[in-house]
Amino acid sequence: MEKKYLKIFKEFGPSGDEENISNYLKELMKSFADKCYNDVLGNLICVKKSNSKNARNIMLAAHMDQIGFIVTHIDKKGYLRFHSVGGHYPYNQVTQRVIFKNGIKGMICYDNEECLPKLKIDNLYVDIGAKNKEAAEKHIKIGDRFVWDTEPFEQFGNLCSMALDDRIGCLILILLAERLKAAKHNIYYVFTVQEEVGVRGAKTSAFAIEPDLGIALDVTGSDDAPGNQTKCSVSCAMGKGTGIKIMDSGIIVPKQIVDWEISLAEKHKIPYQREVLTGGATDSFAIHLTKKGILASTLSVPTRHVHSSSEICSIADVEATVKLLKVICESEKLPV
Amino acid sequence: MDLKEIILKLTNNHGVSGREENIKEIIRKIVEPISDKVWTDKLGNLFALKEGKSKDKKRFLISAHMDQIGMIVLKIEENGIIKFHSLGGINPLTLGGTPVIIHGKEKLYGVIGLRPPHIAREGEAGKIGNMKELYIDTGYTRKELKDKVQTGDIITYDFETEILFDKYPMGQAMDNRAGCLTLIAMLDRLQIIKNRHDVIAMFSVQEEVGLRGAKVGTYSVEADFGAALDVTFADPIADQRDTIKFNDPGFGLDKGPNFCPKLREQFVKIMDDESIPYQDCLAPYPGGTDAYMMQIINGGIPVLGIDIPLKYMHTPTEFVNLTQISNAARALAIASALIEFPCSEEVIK
Repeated sequence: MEKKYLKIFKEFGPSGDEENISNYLKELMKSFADKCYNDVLGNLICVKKSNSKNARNIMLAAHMDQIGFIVTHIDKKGYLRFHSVGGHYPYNQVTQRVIFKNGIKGMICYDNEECLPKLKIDNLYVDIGAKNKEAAEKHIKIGDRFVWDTEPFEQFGNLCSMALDDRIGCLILILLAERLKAAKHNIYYVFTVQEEVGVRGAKTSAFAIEPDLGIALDVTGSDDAPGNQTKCSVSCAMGKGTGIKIMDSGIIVPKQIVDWEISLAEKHKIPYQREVLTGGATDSFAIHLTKKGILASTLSVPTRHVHSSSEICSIADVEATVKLLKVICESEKLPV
Repeated sequence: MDLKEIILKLTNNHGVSGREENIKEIIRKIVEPISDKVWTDKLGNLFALKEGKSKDKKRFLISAHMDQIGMIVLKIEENGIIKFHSLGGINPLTLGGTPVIIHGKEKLYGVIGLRPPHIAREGEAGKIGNMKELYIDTGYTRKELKDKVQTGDIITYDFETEILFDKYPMGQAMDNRAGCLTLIAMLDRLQIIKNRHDVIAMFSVQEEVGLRGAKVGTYSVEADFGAALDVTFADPIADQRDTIKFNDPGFGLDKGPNFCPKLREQFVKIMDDESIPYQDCLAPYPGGTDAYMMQIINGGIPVLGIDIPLKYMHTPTEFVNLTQISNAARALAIASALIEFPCSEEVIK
């Protein structure tokens, strides 16, 4: 994978502070869109108009925010207490390296071993190595956000990185924009903000665009790791194709959309899986319920260890998702 | 209008949240001849309009959700057993040994397997584990199921409705087909009663997964005031102090944060004047019915909550009382003829 693509996974952008990632994506997108702009919440909207007479409006949404943390307290010795921004598992944080927007780095540690069996975020703190409170406050203020500091890598045809959720969706949109020469429809590439704290960016952007069809690109679970890791279940597994969403906690995709997407995948021999996810939602939740209702769906990339600092997905599944999305945008007739 | 015939039709057919096409068609056929206009929206909400007769008419939106809880196929295991998940608030206790229908390319019958008590593991007898451990057995092998069942197919209980003592329908999906029946019966009454206001009946979708149909439906209708028709917990299982009685002719009239006190006051007066029985129904928890969406969508509208008392909610054996349904239909029909718009704006300066 080219370096410029891998950088998508490294740019700073926890929910509510998406400036850096938004600027980088704008750089990548600007030559493929008629115009790029940010709305009030910060959603990056890149519009590519079609010349076709019967063009409809398609909104493609990938959220550019990542889960992160926010500083709530700086103690006398210069240690930082914090809270989650988005859904975190406390045990995933122990001894993680983290980084602030200004480049300050630190590591997460726990209070003592007694708290480990029932670990809560409150039992964790960040050590940035500052001498005391004053020294820390020169660089860090309460309310500053930080994220994990890990490097993406490729191995065995898979990609491992933090924030695959949902920078992989952002990458899919970039790859699509590069390949989509003559779309039959007006395409709104929307890189949404604040998905991880309640699909907030998709809500306002869908309201403003009011598309005929909305498709979210996001990760889903993968049912192939050892053990029974999470409470929720998923019907997909890594490497078996793009996930065509049928249901998650936020949307029950209309039958005519599911059937249409499956027929396109079969016609073009694109590997796909029927996806039912029993916990979690994506931007399609907000798009679907906007105004009088908008037909919406999600294409998913099955991913292991979602919401950890090393999420893993199959590059072949990413490729399948781009292909299906391209076929969708090139379809003369939409089922809407 | 034969309420018994309609409730059998409404509850012996299925329409799980997000897949309501079947039940929507059934309702559409019933309401089309008795409405001025019928239409649907993108999520599948069904609307029926009875035009108001008065010049100063307002728009009165009455909603009853037509979706029901059910289950959905996750995957088929090597040995042919089917793993599934709930769609809406299914109580796992109702699932052990229960016959189900899988609505795939064709209807397929199965049963949710349960280990016999004789060979139950230590501590397992008399308990239902979590949904993840339950499965459906159709008798087919995985190979035989290949063309019949797919991930995402809908599953429902397989129970036929009985009408007990000729007046208590008992079966699946009474929540909220009882409300749909009430709304249908009200439309029927409006053929005789001259409604003052435009009455828009909304048979909403996806209530059981978060009031989703009501959200977009309310947005598009732009009503002036509204009512949500749903079911409520009736005795003997309700443990609230003021229990709604099942063997009482009165339906439930909601009191709580989602409901407009001024509108309710007027409605109560009309009920008293017309000698229509009702019971006070305390609904302290906000957000439980379509009323919540009506209250907050667009600029927000004053809303009434009308409840059909129901026993054993979210089981395949839900009970309702036809007398209460009939009275609720009559009450709403008369209200749409008499009620005044409760919230005239007062200009201060």
